[in-house]
Amino acid sequence: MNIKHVCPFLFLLSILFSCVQDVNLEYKHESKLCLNCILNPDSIITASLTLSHALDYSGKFEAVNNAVITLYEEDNIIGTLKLKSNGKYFLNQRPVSGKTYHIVAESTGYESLKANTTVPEKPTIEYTKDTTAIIENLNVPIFDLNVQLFDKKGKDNYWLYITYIVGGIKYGGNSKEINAPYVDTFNRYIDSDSKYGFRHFLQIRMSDEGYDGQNLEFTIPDNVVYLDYKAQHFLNADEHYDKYIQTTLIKRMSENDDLPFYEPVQIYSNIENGYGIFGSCAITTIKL
Amino acid sequence: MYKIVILFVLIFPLIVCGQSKYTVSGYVTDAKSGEQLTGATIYNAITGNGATTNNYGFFSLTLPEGNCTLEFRFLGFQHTIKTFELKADTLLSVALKKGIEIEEVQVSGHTNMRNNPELSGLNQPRITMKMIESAPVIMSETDVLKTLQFLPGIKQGAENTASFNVRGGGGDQNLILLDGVPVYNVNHLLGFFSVFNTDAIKNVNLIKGGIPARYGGRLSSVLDITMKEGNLNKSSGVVSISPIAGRFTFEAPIKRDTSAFIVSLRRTLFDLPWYAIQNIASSGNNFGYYFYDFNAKANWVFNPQSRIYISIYTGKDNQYSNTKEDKNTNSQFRYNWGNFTSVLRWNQVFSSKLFSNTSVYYSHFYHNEIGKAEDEKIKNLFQTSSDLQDFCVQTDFDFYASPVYTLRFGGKMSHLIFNPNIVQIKSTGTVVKFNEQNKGNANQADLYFENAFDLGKLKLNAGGRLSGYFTGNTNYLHFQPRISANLQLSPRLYMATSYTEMVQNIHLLTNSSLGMPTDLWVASTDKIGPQTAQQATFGFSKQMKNSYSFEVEGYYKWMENVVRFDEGASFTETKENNWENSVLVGEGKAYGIEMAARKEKGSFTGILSYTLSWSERRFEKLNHGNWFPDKYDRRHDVSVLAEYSFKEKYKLQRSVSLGFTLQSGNNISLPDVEHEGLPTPGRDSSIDIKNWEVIRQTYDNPNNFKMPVFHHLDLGYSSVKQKTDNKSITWTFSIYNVYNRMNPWYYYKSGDKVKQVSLFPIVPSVGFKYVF
Repeated sequence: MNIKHVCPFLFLLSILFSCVQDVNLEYKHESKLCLNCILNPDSIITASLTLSHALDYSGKFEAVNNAVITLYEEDNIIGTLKLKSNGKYFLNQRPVSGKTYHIVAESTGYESLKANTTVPEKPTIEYTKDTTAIIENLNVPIFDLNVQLFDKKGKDNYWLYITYIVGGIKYGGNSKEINAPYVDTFNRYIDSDSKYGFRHFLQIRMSDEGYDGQNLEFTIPDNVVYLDYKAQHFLNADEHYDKYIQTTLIKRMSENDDLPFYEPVQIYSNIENGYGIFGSCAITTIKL
Repeated sequence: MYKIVILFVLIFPLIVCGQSKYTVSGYVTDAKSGEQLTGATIYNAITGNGATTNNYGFFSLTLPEGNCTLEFRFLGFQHTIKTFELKADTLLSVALKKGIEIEEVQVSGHTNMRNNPELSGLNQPRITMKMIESAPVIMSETDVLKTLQFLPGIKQGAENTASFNVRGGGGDQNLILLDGVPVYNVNHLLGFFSVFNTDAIKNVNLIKGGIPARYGGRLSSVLDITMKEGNLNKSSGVVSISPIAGRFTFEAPIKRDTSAFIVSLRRTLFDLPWYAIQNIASSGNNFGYYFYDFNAKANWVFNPQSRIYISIYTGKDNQYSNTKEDKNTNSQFRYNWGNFTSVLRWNQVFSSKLFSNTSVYYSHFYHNEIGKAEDEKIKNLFQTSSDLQDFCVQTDFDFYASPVYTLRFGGKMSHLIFNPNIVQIKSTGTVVKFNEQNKGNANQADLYFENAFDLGKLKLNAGGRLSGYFTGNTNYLHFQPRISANLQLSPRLYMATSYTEMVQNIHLLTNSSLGMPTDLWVASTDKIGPQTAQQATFGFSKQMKNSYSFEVEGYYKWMENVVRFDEGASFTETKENNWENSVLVGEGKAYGIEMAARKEKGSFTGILSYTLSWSERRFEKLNHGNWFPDKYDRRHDVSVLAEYSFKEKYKLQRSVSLGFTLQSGNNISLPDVEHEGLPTPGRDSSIDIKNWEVIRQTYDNPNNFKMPVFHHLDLGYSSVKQKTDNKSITWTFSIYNVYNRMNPWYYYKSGDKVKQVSLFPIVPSVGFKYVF
């Protein structure tokens, strides 16, 4: 629904009476550490540590290079992350699905950051392809991808997205439309021109709420591959990363609306004494 | 201890029942119109006993046999004294004549008598129609809900909107009744005006603490608005006009002293010239907006014991646009919302001590958005709609057992139908519907009892309400104890206290608090239970010799299962969604202290109030589960509403009025910090990554930013020229925001800058009213 439809009177009043003026708000912000680290069993551990700043500061984020970042696995230290460059740290180890990790980041002059995550299992996927048509001039098939996602007991938060390469350049993050009861509608918007009458903003989230431990079957329709590379990804996020992605998308969608008085969104963070995210995920990929 | 209290409540009435002699009962009415007067006092100076009329003007007072003198009083009317010999149960109906008591009368025990005498004046502030009609308001469009906002403990939502928050509660937590029927959306034009046409209103009763058990269904307050009944004696009417709307009210007897009716219509006028211009241009393209309210009521007095009322209200806002490109290509848009309420009511006096009120009502709120577009080949329809229907049967009994004890009891059963945010898209050959799963029904049954004691210096009301709510697979059952007491410590000093538990089975999904029609009423479900609240109050009041009174009261309110939209969920979304997934359930607490100084009689009347308050919320999934201030957590609130009436000259009454509000600003969530962000999955290696994906703007806690202090001064002047006994002309002049304070209405970000929008500068206006 467009705000112009909802409240033309507001605009009428605005024209008649209203006054719009710039205001200089005093942003009293004391910088805090911001830690971003997503554990993935397929990758070595990397983290980024920067400082937050007030909204009216236009410079770049200041990297924190003198921090000690310690990672614990099931309460045992597995290592201290090393500085790679410009606030980027790494630890040459891979996290393990099912294990709980605890991170502590310490830097002189700032409160220590702490957070926890439990690395989820990779989604178990089976799929078939049904060709539905051929693009004649390209001789490229259009196919439906029939997916079976074998959900395991316990809360899982699936995110679906594609990546592709065209002319050697990487793109990605979007998703094909899917019409299934498991699909979360939080980022769905109505588009009467689309196949199902709606679209999703960027990724699609699937929840196993109400279907825990069941076999989730759905179809990703109308796939076409005439690119260098195209892949469908199924990401299982822990609760923290899941909320972080959700609030990020919700915030962006709110900003895109033309509502003059939309409610801002607080970006989710599980970092104690600071900002950012310490989460985890495990990804299964189908090359299309 | 609990058992002793129950024993007292059960046995005491039996003891006191035996003390009565003969009962005087009847109605107190307005001599001119025959309207029954609510809250009129009946006082016997010899025994010191008294009574007040109930919502339907009925009273019952048991007195010793012998000579009896009763004094009848009602604010704005001349008092009347009746002397007679009481030797049997007596039916006595008294008609009071209008007349203002200009002289500042001595205060007596009689002065404090009123409806619900166990409540403090801050829990149940006295609101008169004169106060509402004389308050200076924007565009001279008198408004009940805006006048209330001058009272302590009541905060307005956004500037100049009719929505209000009581003692830290939400705007949805106010039970607003029109002739006993809940009105689910009380706003016109984005909430800038309420649906209540003051020309058709007889009485307004607000209770914000110590809410008696007869009321239920909301957590924070009860606003009980009663329509006029129709003039039983002769026909009369009112024509009035303001820059916003014109109003016409007509009332007349159907059969003199037996039956009467009243009809009242209000409609916006500003759209009519625009409509005419567009029609003259006749291009086929037009757009516009209007709203209207229509009230009608009739009543029949079958005999002194039996009376029937029927009343309806319907109101609607409609915004429309039509565009026509050629013969076959056109589009239409309609956006409309409104209420329909109707009630059939039967008052029966079974005996001089037993009064009953039985009613059947229906309340319906709806809103629709319809967009149509068609050309030679394609026809498209887009429609979203919501509606809420409430069918109810209820009955109430007042049993005046003795001068010291009144038992009130009753119950209601209602069936509610919810259809929130149903979306339908029709295109040639296809029909798509969304949110069908949100449809739902619920049944509710309530029983209540009140034991009202008048023990001389102590007035006490102890009761309870049992509420059952049946939805889906879950039944919710709540017992809500209610107790309130008012103790006279000295001839002019009173102490009052109350404790109430309240339950609210329905939720309003809104994050604007503007009174948008898109705000959705939804039922409690298996997953999201009813809201509950407990409130305790304690205060003192002091009446001075010179008709001044001072009151102070503290309150503490706990709320559970309060609902708010999840972060980013928007009230104008047209997306498919189960609303349960878009809300957070949490708790709230509100506490504060209210002070008021009043002067209710004399040429100068008014109220000066100050409120110091806190209101906080906590949601497990928000702000790390920590408490944060509510949007309307306004720490300080000073309000003044005053009127000075000049001495009448040549049948011309003139008065000046003043309204002033000074409040701490609202809280809003405004990002104030930036930190590095992670791109969402799949975006991290993409070449077209955007700034928003790697920079997060956020805040430490919701409602982190306090808007500047909000204040404005409004002045009014009215002159009433009494042409004849029945005819008068009233001119009202008002200036809203005299010193042109640009209060922020909202903020928004534009690029790197934050912009403030203020909607209401100084606004002078004039209104006219003709009474015939």
